[in-house]
Amino acid sequence: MPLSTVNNPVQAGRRYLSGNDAAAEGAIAAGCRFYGGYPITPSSEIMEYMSRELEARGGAFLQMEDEIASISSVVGASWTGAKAMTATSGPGVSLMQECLGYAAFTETPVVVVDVQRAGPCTGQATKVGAGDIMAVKWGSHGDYQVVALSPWSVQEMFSLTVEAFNLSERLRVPAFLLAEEATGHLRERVDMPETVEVYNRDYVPGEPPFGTDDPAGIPSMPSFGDGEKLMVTGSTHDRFGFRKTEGPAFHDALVRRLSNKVLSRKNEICRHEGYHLDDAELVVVAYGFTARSALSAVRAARQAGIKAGLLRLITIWPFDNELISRVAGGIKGFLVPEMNLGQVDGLVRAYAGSTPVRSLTQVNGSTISPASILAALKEMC
Amino acid sequence: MSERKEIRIAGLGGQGVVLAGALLGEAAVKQDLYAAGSNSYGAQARGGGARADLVLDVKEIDFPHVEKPDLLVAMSQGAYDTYAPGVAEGAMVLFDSGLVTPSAPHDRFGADVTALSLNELGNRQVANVIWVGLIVGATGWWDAEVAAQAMAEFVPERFLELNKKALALGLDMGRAWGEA
Repeated sequence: MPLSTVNNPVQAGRRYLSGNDAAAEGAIAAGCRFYGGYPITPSSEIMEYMSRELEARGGAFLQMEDEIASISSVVGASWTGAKAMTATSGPGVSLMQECLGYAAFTETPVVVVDVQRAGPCTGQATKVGAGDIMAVKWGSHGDYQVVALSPWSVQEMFSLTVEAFNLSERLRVPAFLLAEEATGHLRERVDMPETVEVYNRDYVPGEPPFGTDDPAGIPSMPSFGDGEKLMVTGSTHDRFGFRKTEGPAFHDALVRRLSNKVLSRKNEICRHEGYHLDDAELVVVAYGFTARSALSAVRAARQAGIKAGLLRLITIWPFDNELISRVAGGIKGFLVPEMNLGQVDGLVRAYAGSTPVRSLTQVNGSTISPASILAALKEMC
Repeated sequence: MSERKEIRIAGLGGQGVVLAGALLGEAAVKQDLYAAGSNSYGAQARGGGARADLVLDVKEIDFPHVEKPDLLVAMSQGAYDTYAPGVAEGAMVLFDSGLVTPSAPHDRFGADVTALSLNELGNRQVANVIWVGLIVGATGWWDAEVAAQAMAEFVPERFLELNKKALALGLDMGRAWGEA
């Protein structure tokens, strides 16, 4: 079933809204009908919103005993046919990793909003960070893919939550909204649309739920109660869900399909924005809140006569390596400011060819100022 | 208002700083401005220093945090001492004169708002809405009618009349300051 346009169930029009509330409204607009969670700063307002609103909208809300149970409940709910989510922060993401791998391997659509705070470990609970970039991709063992989207505004806390649900449902993968404390707690003008585009998972009765002949295919997904003989296991399984742990070629093909179903669709999934890129000599690659500091810095740099541009990554995973290679041609250098010690910088370096890449890192629990980025750009001239 | 303005309202937890900031942000959006608000967050919001920052602009806001306030409202000595040195050149600094002794002679916009709230309105809880009126009146950045509409949405019905009086009280004083 392709995208369909539905009326936005939340209040449309111009509003002044917090990022976390906007993410919760995005989930409701996308059709989320199950939330299982455990509160954690700085994401808790999402859970509070869902606890107030979800049951009134025909959904179910459960406060679980911890994050392990939370993500498990979300996976279970998804198999009943519900669009399901949780919200957490870094320590919760760490606890959820085992079941996120289970979701990836069982091709279960789940959405996780990660409102990042300064880690590692408990770190600084109320302070901002962006250190979960690699954790959401590589945190569970084995090879698998996820989708991760990086909002830079309250508007996108709404719209990218909807998109996370759509991609998760369509691709049957875990999808993350990789937000940051500064955006979760930002209040901002939002123009809430009258309608939203939603994707409801594809189900063809009788079709096998765990395999296709296409080596990058996405199988039909039935739910418990549909009348199918349905089994879900985290062990290697055949296309009908039976354990099949013998046969190296079979396991190899399965793991490759799970990756390829995402990677072969990168052109449809990956989104970015460019500012002043046409004649840019220095390009800031930024994402999330830091991209707003970067845009302000790029504008100031232009006023100072520096040909700077901004490449804003909206999709972090899958990583758009072709985009980096394409932009790298003909520029003098990349600057990658991040509220971590260079997690995306390493990716940019890998695909920048001979173009120099400079990393600007800050892990002190506060946002990177436009002045810091401007100073780095001036040093690169 | 024609260009980006940065506003910082600071005081102690419990003075209604965060609510005042949210109300002003809501009012700005109602009059089609762009607004971005951030509050102090964490333990300090529950008893220690509290802060509400707001950026206003007629166009989309890139960096949404306050760096050099064009308007500072200091509701405690600690807030004044911390934030007054960092304001923009030509900034307007308003303070609660019952709680703050200003150190810079140009900071002349002081009013004993806490005492005013208690003595004139019989309730110290509405001091923050007097401040909203003062800010709207002194700066001219908001439409007073729209601010009143926003306030009505934030305040429970049974306190509406009280808050209307508080807003009007602040507006009158603020307008006088704005002309000074």
